[in-house]
Amino acid sequence: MNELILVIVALPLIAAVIASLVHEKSAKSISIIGSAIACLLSILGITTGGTIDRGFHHVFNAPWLPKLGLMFSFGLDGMSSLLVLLTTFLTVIAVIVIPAPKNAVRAYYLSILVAGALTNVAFASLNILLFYIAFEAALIPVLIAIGMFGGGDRSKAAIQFFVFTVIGSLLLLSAIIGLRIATGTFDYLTLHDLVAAGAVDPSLLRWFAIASFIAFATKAAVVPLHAWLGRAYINTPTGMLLLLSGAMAKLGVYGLIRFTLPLGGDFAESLVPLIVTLGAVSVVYGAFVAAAQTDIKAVIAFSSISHMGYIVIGAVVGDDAARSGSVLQMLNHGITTGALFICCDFISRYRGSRQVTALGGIWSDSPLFSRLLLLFTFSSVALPLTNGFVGEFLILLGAFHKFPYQTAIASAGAIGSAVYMLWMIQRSIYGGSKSDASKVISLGVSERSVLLALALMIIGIGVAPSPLLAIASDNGHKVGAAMQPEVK
Amino acid sequence: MNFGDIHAAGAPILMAVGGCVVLLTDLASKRSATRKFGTFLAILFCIASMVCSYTLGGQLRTAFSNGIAVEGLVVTMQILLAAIAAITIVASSEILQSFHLPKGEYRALILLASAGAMVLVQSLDLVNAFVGIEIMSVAFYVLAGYRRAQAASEEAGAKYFLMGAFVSAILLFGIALIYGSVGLAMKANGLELPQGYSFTNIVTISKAIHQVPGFGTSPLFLLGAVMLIGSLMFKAGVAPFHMVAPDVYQGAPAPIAGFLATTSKVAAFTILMRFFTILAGADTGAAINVVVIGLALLSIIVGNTGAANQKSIKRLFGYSSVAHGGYIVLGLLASLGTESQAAAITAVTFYIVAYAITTIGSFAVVAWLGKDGEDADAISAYRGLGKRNLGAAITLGIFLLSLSGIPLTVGFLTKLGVFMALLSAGGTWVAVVALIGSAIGLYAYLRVISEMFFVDSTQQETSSTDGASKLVAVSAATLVIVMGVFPSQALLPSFEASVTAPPVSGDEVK
Repeated sequence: MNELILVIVALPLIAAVIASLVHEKSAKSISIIGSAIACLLSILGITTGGTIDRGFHHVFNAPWLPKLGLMFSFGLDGMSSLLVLLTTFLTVIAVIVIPAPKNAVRAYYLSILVAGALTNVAFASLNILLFYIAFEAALIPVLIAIGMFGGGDRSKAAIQFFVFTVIGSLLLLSAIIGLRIATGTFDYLTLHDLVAAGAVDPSLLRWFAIASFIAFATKAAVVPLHAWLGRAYINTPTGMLLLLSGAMAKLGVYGLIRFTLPLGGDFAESLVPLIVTLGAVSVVYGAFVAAAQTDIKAVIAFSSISHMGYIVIGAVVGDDAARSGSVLQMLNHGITTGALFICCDFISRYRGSRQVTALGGIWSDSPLFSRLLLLFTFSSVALPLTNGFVGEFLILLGAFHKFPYQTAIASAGAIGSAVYMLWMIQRSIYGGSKSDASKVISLGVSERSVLLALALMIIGIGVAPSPLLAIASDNGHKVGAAMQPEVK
Repeated sequence: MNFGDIHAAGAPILMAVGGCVVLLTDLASKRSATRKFGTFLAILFCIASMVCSYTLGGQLRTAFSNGIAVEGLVVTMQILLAAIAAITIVASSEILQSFHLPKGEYRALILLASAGAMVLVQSLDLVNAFVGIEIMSVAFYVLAGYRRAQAASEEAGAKYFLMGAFVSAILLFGIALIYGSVGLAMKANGLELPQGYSFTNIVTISKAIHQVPGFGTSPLFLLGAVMLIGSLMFKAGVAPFHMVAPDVYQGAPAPIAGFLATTSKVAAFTILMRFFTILAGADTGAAINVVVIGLALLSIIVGNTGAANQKSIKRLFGYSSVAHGGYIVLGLLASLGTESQAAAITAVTFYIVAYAITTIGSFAVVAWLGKDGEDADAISAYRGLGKRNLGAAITLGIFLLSLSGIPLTVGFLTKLGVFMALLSAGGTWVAVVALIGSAIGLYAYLRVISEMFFVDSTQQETSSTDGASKLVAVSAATLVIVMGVFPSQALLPSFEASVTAPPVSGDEVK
């Protein structure tokens, strides 16, 4: 089953093409079928199978533009298979639970399915140029979704988002080309071996470390490269936002773990204290900015900066437990933030506002919905027995003995998150309704089952994290351990 | 002169003869009858010219006392030039009709300009290059001012003519200086003039550069070379010689603007590529490198920043062409390094072809959306286009993304090729400045995309009848994607063939 990842990528794309040709009414069901099968198949991706090469399974190779060194090279390890699963999962629930804008149903589903597929290409790619192409091409559907279906400030948000992230990735491109010229390959595993053997010019590696860090930190919205995030997240339509915040921002952290640290040489190691400090700053900064918001979507958006701060810290400190925690936390953040954004979408759809000053009374009006929302909030503030606790705890535990000051600051940010999230819930859910036009939030069968499934995952991972942690611990440190490819 | 000579120069000869025939047919027949027949004749000559180029194949051959040389690169470029001419003639019939502009002369001018461009790309002797440039430019001046009734068009023609004439003088002076310096150097060092070659022949210059010590750094030669490079850069619309380009593109009707923007670049950059191959590996001091780096970076910065705040889309494309000229010059810069030369020539060739397709397509969209022959020039006219005319909006969107160099379009691969050649030639900081320029350009192109798709508009659907422009635009957009995803299948083999036979160098001459 080496073609597994091809199928996972191709199915949503095929569904997207069919959905954009058929009548608008069938577009949704076709999109759901395509992405759901892909999601089920990506569970298979977690299991070891297919050709195995240096710690990656399901390794697939086919030429695209061999003269340029561009190959369809795919392979999965624990980390990338979990992230592929997360992406396909978020694609499915985005299609199921968020209604498409009425005037452009097909374009909307097309943009979501294409964005998800390209993100998966990036996660699974073992060719660094292929990774780059998917990394950057995935921006186009997001640009279209923000610009066409986004909130009031959509034009500005779309341009800002696109320009910011592309500048970062252009730097990455120059560094990738530099590696190719020095080594003659774009193949990740070969590059990894060459760098590990010290066969690449250190000044080149230094440039790669700097450029790729800027690209990936922009993607993960690490302070001070976070400036695009606020306007973009607030104006992105919720369906695409699930992918953008849940999956594509993870490409940044994934890139740090997969590329910047192993291929950046000694200089990348020396960047670690800076990255950890920036991560801690992000945690605190995100908490402060989130606390100042009155729009619940903005609160969740800025809380993402804070959460991504932890994940970045865990990714780079060089501690196995912290790195596994970080990979797990990527998954958790995708699930929890996705759930919160979905709730936020329900609230604004039924109540006509996202301002805490105009909400209230939801606890008594919509009991199931508000109790689920409270659970998601608990997960977001990392209460024990929710998934968020496991990840954050592992990250802080692993980071503390190496960077005690930064970790202490980041831990303080955890208190901040409790403050702004619970304050937001208090103002928007409890009390009496502050507006006359309040409607009861009634969940349909599919909406209810999606939210319940998310809630089950949150508790499930919170209570029994070890199976997922075992997979998450397979995150690249085995690369190079088995030099000879073996076929199973 | 024999049949082989005529065959080698067949492509431009056919275009020139075609120009005369079209003009005479137009004179002899009634107005209404000529319209379709004249187009048919013109296209026929373009196709004949392409066939003639194609039959020459990839191997190197010289003709007319070594005045011209033809190999894969020249064949590729001549076919491209003939295709551009044919497409322009087809795409502009509607616009000419609605302005009641004479068509016979128009077709003749396009064919003659292309003939000049073809002479330029195949010339081995700089004097031939000058003749080619003049044939091309004189037709350009007339074309730029072809809509005499409109002030902007007239202004464009006059500006283009004044600047162009001045630059031609500089070019000629540069050639004269090179002629003098080569002659003096060879005499002083007791070198024979290669049998059958003149002092202005590239082969002779190459011999002087590679065999006369210190020739590459002699002031006389450097001054001549810089004048030659500078004036060819003007013809290609590279900054700081770009001033007229946006004016000309805005003033001329869209299909003509597309023709001017592409033909001039194809021709000027091809002859520059040939001139640069003899400089590769030669000791010319830092002067030429500095000039070329300066021109490239200035173009990229000026072009991209100039594009960022335009209200007119044709001016935006004008500045964009300046910026892309800069990227091509970066490729030329890489061709000065002996190791990166082959990669650079492939990259530049691919870039030129891809740029020609994208530009012709972009201007075709402008003509397609035009009303009563007026181009849809104001960017505000594109507001909400995605709702009114989705096909046109997507087509233009593809071109804009390609111009910004986003993956899965051909624009990405062209930039990738140029940057790979540049970085392997060691131009790291140059590449970084160029990347910053790209980011500024990205904003300019995104602004148009944003107007088309992200902003609601109350404008009514403009009923467009320009079927020819629509056909050109849609086919070009398809090519942009196909070449962006499968360049090897689409076009790369021919380019690879084109560089297997490198332009003549001094080593082959005994």
